[in-house]
Amino acid sequence: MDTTDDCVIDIRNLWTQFGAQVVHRDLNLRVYRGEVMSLVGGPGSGKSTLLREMLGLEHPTRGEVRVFGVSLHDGDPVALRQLRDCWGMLFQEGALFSALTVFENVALPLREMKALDEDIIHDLVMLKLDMVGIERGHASKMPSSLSGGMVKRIALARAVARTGVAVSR
Amino acid sequence: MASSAQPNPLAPSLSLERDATGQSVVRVSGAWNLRAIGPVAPVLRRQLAAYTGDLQWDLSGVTRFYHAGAMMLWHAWGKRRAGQVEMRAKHDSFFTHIETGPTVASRYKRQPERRRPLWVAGRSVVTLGMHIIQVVALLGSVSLVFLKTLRHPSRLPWKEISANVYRTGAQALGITALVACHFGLCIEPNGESLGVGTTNSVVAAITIVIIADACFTIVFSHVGIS
Repeated sequence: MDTTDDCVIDIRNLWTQFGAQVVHRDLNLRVYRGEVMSLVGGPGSGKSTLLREMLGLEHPTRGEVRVFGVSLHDGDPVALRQLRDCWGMLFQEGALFSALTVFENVALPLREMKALDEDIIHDLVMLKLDMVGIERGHASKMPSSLSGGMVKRIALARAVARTGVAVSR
Repeated sequence: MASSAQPNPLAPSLSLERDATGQSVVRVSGAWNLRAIGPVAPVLRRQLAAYTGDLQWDLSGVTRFYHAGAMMLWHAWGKRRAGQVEMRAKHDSFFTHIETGPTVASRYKRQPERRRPLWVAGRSVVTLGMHIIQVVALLGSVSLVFLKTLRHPSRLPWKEISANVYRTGAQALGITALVACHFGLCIEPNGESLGVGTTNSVVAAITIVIIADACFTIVFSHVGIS
């Protein structure tokens, strides 16, 4: 399994330091295709910081983060933007757009690409909702009328609408 | 009828060829995920629309596959599997998922269009009503405070008001002088040139404002501040 092709996230010798406080000390981590990994730790232990570094939102003090073989922190904004199309982000509270219906929330990342016809987007959204166990009857509902669990599922459907890779926090 | 060749081997591509038996085969190759499809989507759509009839489809050249690519092909095939398709087993699962999924059932509609105006009007009336209630509540609250003040003027925080006016006056001295300078420039009767008249009016305005401000500050310092 230890092949470069299968390795989606590759963190090498990562150091994160805020002033005198060292959050990550020479961290090495690999996440492979199809693998589900959870980061567990106390408050302030650097879980969210590590996720932000994996997404290219924060720079580590030292070390390298590579996603799909591309270094996130080598200063190429175009490459980073292209790379961001390869993953979806699932937020803790779902972060659905309250003014959009369930369908429109999941369709949004697909419509943003401007690559697919509306018919295909419709069927893709329904498929994604089905994958997360949301019945099609809920597609026209607003997020305010959904339970917390449903919001989370719909947020997951939106995160994997473009790609099968989801990062959650 | 062969399609345009793609220089990038990862880019999704379609080409119509003839096999040894003379059968037309559409060869699908490259990455068929949304990221790869995006830049060449219009070309692929045109090609897919052109490839109709009794064709054989060969998907064995597909390197990466995801639902977006599968759905594009599915729609091009008329929302069913093409008659003759060759593909890898792991790619077949995407089509199986689409076949058994809810896509062909009822279509999503946000709201019937004919109801929209009524819905908008109703919401506007409710919003207006809420605003009227809030304005009445605010006016009532202000009136009660005002009446209370009139009945018991001694309870007003005079000292605090005085202190605030004093502090404001003292702090505003510099900016007041600057504003006064501008006033002086503006009120100069023969303003087309900065002559002696202008200077006089500027100096006069600054002097007046500073004196007024100082008097104001001194008065309030004696009234309110111990």
